[in-house]
Amino acid sequence: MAKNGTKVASKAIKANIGTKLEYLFGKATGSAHNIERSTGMLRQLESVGIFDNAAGRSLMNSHLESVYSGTKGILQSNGRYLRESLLMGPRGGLKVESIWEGNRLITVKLLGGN
Amino acid sequence: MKQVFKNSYIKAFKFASSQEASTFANNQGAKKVLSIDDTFGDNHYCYVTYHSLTKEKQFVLSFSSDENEDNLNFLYWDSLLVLDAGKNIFLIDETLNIKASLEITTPLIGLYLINKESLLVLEEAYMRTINHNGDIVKAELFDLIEDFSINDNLLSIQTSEENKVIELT
Repeated sequence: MAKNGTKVASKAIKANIGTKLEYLFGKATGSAHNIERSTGMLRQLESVGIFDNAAGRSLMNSHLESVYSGTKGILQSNGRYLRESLLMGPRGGLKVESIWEGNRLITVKLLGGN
Repeated sequence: MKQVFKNSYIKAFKFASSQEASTFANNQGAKKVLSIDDTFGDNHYCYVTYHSLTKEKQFVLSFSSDENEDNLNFLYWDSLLVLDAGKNIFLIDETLNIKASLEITTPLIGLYLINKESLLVLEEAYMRTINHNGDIVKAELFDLIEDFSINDNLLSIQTSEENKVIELT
């Protein structure tokens, strides 16, 4: 509450990562494209020493949260935002392209690794 | 295997720099050469098309991309060539003029000819149908597609939030 009694604007909106970590860590089901992309990203993550365990998920989650809160991104033709970042693991780095609609993470593409 | 479409087949060549790709393209002696300059990436490609009988070089396309060759698409659509270069889709006419360019916003699932007049560009979280001029006829945004099917004129998609059926024409 501010001094004059009005409500202070709420805290910064948090990134909504939803279930996208499942996708990143190779757990996708459904279409062939989905499964191929998902397992491909798991291989890329593993190649830089990030594995599907509590530490790996925590690292990925905090990376995506900081990317959302720390960068404005590039506006795409359909109104979504592309944010580019560098993810460092114990054995190297990957370029991360994440697509956002407001605070909601839509999808992720990893470049490098393997 | 040579895959012959419209009496021609294509060979793809990959280079370490755009300069090498451009030099190669210009040294082919083909009547038509298109180097797409506003493409970027670590992989530099030349697609050379040959006549299926005479093996005469017909045209050469060169471009750059972050994608591996296996992930790229090339499609004949009547008199148009449709090139997926990773970040953009180019509609190219017979004289190798770029008629239109569409940004790929999320990884591309694929291209699908609905009929003679319209092409479906299906991405992981976005769909568009376009006409020969590259005009968007229909577009829908959604969350990441988990599964999908296509039957006749209907695209059914499943995301973590919804199931949706989209009429394509």
